[in-house]
Amino acid sequence: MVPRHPPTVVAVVIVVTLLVTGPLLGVDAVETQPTIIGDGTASVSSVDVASSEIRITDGRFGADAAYLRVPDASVTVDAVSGRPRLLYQVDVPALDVSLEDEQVLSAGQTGTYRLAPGDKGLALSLPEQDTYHGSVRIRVQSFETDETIVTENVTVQVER
Amino acid sequence: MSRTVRRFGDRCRRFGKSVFGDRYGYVLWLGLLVTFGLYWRVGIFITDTYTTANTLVAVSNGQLHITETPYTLTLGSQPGLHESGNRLYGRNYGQVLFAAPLVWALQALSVFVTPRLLVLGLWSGTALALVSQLGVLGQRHTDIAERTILWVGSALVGTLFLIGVATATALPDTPLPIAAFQISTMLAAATTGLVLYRLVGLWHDRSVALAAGVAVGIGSSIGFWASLPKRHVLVGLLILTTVYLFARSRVAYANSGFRLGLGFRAGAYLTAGLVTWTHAFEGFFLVTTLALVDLITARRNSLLHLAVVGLALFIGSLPMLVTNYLISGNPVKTPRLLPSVGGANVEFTPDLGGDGGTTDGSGSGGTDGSGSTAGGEGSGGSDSGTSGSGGEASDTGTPIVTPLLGLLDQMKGTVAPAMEFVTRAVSRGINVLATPDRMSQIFLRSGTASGINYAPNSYEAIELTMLESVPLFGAVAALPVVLVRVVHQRIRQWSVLPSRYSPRTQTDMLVTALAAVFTLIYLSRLPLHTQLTVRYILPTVPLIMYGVVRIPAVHEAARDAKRWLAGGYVTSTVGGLILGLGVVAGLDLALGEAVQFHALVNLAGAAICGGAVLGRTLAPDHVPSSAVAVGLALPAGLTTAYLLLSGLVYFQYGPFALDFVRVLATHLPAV
Repeated sequence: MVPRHPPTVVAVVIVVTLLVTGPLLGVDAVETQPTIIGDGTASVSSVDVASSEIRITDGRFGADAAYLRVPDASVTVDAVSGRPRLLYQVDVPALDVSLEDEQVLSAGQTGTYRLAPGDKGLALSLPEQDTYHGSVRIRVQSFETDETIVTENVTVQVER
Repeated sequence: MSRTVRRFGDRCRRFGKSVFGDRYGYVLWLGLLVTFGLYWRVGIFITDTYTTANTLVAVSNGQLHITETPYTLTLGSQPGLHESGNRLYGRNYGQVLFAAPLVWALQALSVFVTPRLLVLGLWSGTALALVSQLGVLGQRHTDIAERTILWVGSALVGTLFLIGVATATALPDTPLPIAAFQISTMLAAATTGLVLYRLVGLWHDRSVALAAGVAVGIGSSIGFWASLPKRHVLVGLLILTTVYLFARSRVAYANSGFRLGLGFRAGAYLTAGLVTWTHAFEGFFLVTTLALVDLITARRNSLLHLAVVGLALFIGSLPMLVTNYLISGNPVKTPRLLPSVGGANVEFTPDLGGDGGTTDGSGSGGTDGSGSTAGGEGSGGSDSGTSGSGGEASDTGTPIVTPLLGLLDQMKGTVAPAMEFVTRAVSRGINVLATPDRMSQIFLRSGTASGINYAPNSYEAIELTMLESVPLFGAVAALPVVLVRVVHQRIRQWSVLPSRYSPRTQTDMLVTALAAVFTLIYLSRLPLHTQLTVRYILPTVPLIMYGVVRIPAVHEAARDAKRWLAGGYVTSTVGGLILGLGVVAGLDLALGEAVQFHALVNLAGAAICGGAVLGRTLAPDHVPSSAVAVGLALPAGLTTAYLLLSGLVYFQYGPFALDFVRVLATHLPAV
């Protein structure tokens, strides 16, 4: 009584898998990804961020917006306990804009992480001044700790 | 026993045949659903959907008014929330009620299967059905090909399923109603492809019809909105279905099958009437246009036929009338006409509170996608509706007549401003036709358009024009030439009455009229933010696609150069994906830049497409049909690439429905 129709075979496998992992039989297949920070901390061994590359430029291809563009940062983590997060923040107070990216870590997740806040449209045209003061911070945060690894004042160029 | 089973099987097959036409239609439908699933994200993209999703939760719990809001935005600040009798209501009840059975089905299944794997299982099941149908498609009954397709396809689906299980993550809270809502829209989008396949199949070869179905599904902006539960895809489907039933009725009338013709004719009116349940004004314009063309072109307009048609229209509108009555006590007062709550005004409706509320286009700030200016917040208006029902209650003298008269009175109070609104929408639309700048920002090139408020979307220029979002419509360039020829021919046969035109010509007339009307009525509020692909006029996309296919150069190329068409399409899709990903990564594009890059590439595709089709139309001897096929395949593939990238890379508003797609997407560059 083995069905020879391949789609039927696969369909049977699928249905059995779904039922076995379902609430009634309860083999847990669905993991909850660590997306919310908890307690704990992480030790950072090195940080690489090209903060001088932070700049404001015009959009291309007909997207006429002024963009604040922030380069990626890579952060190497030696040790993790609990569930802290890495946070990369860039602020330009005079333009009332901040960009950030975070990475929540779980115990044991060491290695190098890339944080990419990306870019943000500020207005339809470039701001008035040629440079603005900004700040760059890279932090390790959890409910227990808030440690600033890097803090740097930068000059943000407006490229016309 | 076995006879009952066989009879049931026969009945299923007959039902399948009447819906899908043939196996190709079924494969098309399944294929579109499977494709939509790949870039489906579970979540809410446009703020208007908060209200309709909460309405769906309420309706699936057996009530029309909203009491709990699992999807927030806080209650009271959701665009499109309305108040009647101290209760809060949503809108688009037709669309919502269409999705409610899906919510129940998913909730029932979730007793046995966790939501995340349920979504994966449904997709896998659909994909398996597609594989088993593909195996026996056409002439492949000769074993080896069939076996290969079945084994390879099944193994692929099985593998993807297992990867999905192994990498499964939890979905956000209350995932099932919003997932059901999205599935309902995907079903509508896939069915739009199917109906266009069947409609085109009435006049042309199967390969032409299939190409049309694929083109409207994943070669146009319909695919963009497939998993975004706004009303436009559903309305577009109902309009196209109306056209299809109309076409069938004309064919039957022409063959003197008057009873069958009347059946399809009634079906067209019933379908048109159903649109009112989701959006009364779009329904009104559909019914009016249909009636006009139908009465002119019908071979028989006897009293009996008209009575049947009227009854069908009434039945189609009945769900809307009943819903309105339950909500406001006035059958013709739709939720959109009720006072709105929280300042966000409704879209495309007359303002009963005071004049001057819904003015032209360019939105009122705020992140609502709804459009009209915030001017006429006017919930303090003197609505005849509510005060009327108060009067009824005190008068208990004549139990039937008085309430009925009261009801009529209320209806009159609603209808007059509605009619004024209708004429205004049309006349303002005509005014826009005379402003080339604005027309260009709606139909040709967006860039950063002056009329759009970009602030709500962080100044990202993500609003494409019609041609940028469906570059295949570059083929419309040949339409004037075709029209001139058709009109020329008509003039020579001027004595033939419209009721004696061929069913095909009669259907072309209806499609033209509908496309014109559904463009015209929205022109005055465009261009606008949160349109993305000018979604207000999305229902015209299947109609225009039909028009494109009806151009001789197009359907001849799809018939004569199938391999060029299919090969070109695959090449163009892959090329578009590589180009898009390469540029996003290489030039580190922001969202608006990426979208505008696609816009420019699509415009180039549209120009090539238009050139090829126009060239073939003017000088058939100098442009081979293979060139036209490539010219059509290019923009269609570019559009598919944009659809996929928009879901996989550009617009992130929720987790992917399929975890194996999430795993893949982490390796793609981000904007």
